[in-house]
Amino acid sequence: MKWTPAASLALVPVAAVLAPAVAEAKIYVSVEDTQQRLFPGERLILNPVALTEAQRERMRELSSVREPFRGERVWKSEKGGWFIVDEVVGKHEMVKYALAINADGTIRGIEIMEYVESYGYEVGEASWRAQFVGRTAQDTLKLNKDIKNIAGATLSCKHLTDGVKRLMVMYDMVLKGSK
Amino acid sequence: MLGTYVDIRVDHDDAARAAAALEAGFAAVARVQRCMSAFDPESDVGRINRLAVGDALDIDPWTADVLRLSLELHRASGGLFDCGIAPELAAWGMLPPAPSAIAGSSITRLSFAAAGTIRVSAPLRLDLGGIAKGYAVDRAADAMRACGARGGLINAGGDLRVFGPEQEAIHLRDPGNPARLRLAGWLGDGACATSATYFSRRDVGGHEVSALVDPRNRQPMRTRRSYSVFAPCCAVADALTKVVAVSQDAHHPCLERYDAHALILESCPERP
Repeated sequence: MKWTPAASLALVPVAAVLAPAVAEAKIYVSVEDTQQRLFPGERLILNPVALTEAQRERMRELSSVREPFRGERVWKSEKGGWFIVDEVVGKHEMVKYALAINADGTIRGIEIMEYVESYGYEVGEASWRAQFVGRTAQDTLKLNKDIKNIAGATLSCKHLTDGVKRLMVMYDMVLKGSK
Repeated sequence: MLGTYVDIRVDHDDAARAAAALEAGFAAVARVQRCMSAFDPESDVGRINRLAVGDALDIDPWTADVLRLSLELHRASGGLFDCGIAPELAAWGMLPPAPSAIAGSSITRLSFAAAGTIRVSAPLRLDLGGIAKGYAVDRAADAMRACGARGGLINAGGDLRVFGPEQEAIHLRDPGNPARLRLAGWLGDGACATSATYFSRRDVGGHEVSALVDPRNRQPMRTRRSYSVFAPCCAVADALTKVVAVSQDAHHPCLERYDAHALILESCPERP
């Protein structure tokens, strides 16, 4: 048995719980719990980044994500990994997610932190998210090519994939070289 | 089934065989229900509850499994887990009324004459509601694995078992408001069960009763807390929730012996 208790007993609205494929899916997980999930036992230090307009433009260009990126939600792990919280539009509502990057630049994992849409929750399924693990900033990360689509959740899949891409672009430009 | 909703999810490489695995899972649950329902006079439990002192009774190997585990847990918990509390549950309208009154009904009155044969030393009224649901979940997991399932999740009204490579987020009901959930953590290859009174408590003759009974004084528990146990197998987790509830001890020595952890949730006031 492997049991990983949550850092806090955060409140979660009743919904997709234990049956994530239902229609009215809503989920909220705290930053601390998500960090613990992606970097178990590791200490993370807040490491905000400031981006130039040129860097932002490059992220938009390579990922086609228009929403502004908030640089204050970036953490560095004690072993040199990175933890970034970001938001993209799912279908109508924002999806909040976290991306973890290993010290060697490969994707460690992604977690959905807030999902309030009625449809498309399938992006929360571990098997879909696992497709990102091991990818790097050099991967194109295109839906239907590198990442499989989920029928019925196309927009959420597309926007999350683009979101991960833009964070990897940002990692490549900014975080990779930082000490 | 089992007086609740049973939800099974399967992870299988082959869609056709995934359906077979699901079916096998539900069939295992149905067999437990057939053997161990206290509502069915023809189940093993129904027949044990009518068994005359001195007579031997042959039972299904699965019922024998659960009874052996129940006896073991009764000993290990110093009597805090006892499936003999059916007369109290019947008196409160949670089980069918008994034809005659029985005092001091306890699992200790049951013994094995052979591997699949039991006897009672005095009249016994058994209710396996505190362990059979967990056992059903375990057998469903076995059946699904035997059908080649890579992983899966079986949830019988909060008694759940996860197997396979994936971990599952476990949410517990807030005992103050069971419509609200709290994220307790992540479970891989293991079981979780919860006992509380929020769904079973009711008023009988001006007194509040519940399906959680303290076997020491045979009184219903009026607690507002909920008791969850995480253990490698669900039958044990299910039974240990009663030990934790009755002892009010999330670190009861019995837990360690079964490699289990407990979580007691307080009924929190509303907060945004």
